[in-house]
Amino acid sequence: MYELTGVTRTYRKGGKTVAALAGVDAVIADREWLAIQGPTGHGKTTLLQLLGGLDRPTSGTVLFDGKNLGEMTESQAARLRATSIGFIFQTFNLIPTLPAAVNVELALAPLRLDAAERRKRVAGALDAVGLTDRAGHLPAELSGGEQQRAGIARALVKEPAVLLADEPTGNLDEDTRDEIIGLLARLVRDRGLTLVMVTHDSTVAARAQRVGQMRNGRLLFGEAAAGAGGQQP
Amino acid sequence: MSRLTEDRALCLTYLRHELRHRWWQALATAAGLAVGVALVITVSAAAAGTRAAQSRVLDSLDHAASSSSAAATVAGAVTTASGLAADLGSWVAAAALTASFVTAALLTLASVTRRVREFGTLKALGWPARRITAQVLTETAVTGIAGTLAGVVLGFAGTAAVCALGPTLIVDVTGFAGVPSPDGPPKALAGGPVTVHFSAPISPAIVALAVGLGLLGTLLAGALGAWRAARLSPASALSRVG
Repeated sequence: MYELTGVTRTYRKGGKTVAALAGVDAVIADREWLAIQGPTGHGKTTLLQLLGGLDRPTSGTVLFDGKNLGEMTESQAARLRATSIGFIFQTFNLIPTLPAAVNVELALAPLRLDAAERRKRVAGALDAVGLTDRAGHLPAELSGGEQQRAGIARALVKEPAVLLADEPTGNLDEDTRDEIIGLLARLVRDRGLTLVMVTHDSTVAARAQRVGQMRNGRLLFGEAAAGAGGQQP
Repeated sequence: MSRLTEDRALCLTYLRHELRHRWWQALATAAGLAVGVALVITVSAAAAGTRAAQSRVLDSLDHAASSSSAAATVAGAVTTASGLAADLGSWVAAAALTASFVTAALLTLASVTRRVREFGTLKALGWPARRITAQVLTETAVTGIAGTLAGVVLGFAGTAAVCALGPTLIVDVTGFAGVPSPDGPPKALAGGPVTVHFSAPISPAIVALAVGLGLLGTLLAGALGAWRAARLSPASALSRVG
């Protein structure tokens, strides 16, 4: 699914060059669930943004099904996100003025589906996350868990190949966290999705097939990751 | 229903919810434009009314003493006062319209800034920049058109109020001694009092100008906001604390 080679991403901050990613090499297989852990500020979110085509590497290549994301125009990257990549955010990022169903439907806007197909997909996605009876509610009228389920429905409704989740349980209590992770695990398994999940929570990471550790802009696996303080399931 | 119509329907659904839940922001933008447009109509109409009153006063003076230097002096003073009033009116109208455009542009930009994270999310969902541009432009256009139309109504109401409150001028030159004439001693002017009612006519051209400027201001404010929204990097937009 993904192949990353020598990926770096630097920023200018306060007159200095800061390396968020300092040479990431990794392969993420189809249908793999990869969890990425690591301290704040070590490049986890930057890596997720590069995988989603939201940002471009300073050097190196990010291949998605053989296509170099770094060489795509913004409109090509937008098209890829619209069709193949679903994002799940820590703060849900639902649009506060729109009911849950319309929030989900917004993800279909770039696909230009006909009304019947659009309605069918929205209903299916809400049903898959158990939110059918809350479809007409605004985000402020939903609990944290319900908001995240709406966020997951929005990510799934386009029928993507990949889900990129940035701390999806970071704003939830333990019971809701377990419920959301259980839901994600089921959906990923049933739909054959690739899931890349950034998380601070080792309990959540333990559910993944593989755990990588981000340390100083590098993604470490196996013994190197264990040596850096990570855990392998 | 065609897919294009479906897209527009979703765009309008988004718009409807935005306006319903952020109505006070839309109202503030529309009100700013409405005040500007109304002032353009009212002040322009008042200036036209002043010129018409001037013309009628001058006519009455002409009737009283077409060749009198006294009448010429009074006429000169009336012309100067009227000209000053009209000039002042034009400046007030221009200043009001500029202020309303700037207000509308700032409110639109403030709205875009407040919604940076929302636009970043839409980009993450795969919305192309042109679609976000269209959404912002549509929202601004609806607010701007409503504000402009409200401004026209307000402008007519304001003009009616000016007419109702405007002074009625009575030109009475009976027994006026005039000023010394090189041809001889000052002459008294003849003629009875003339009543000049102040009225402020609204010409279609002024309404068209006010509407055109209002819509132009809307377009500029919307274009500025849309340009800003479209330029946002999705990664940096998402990193903003919402």
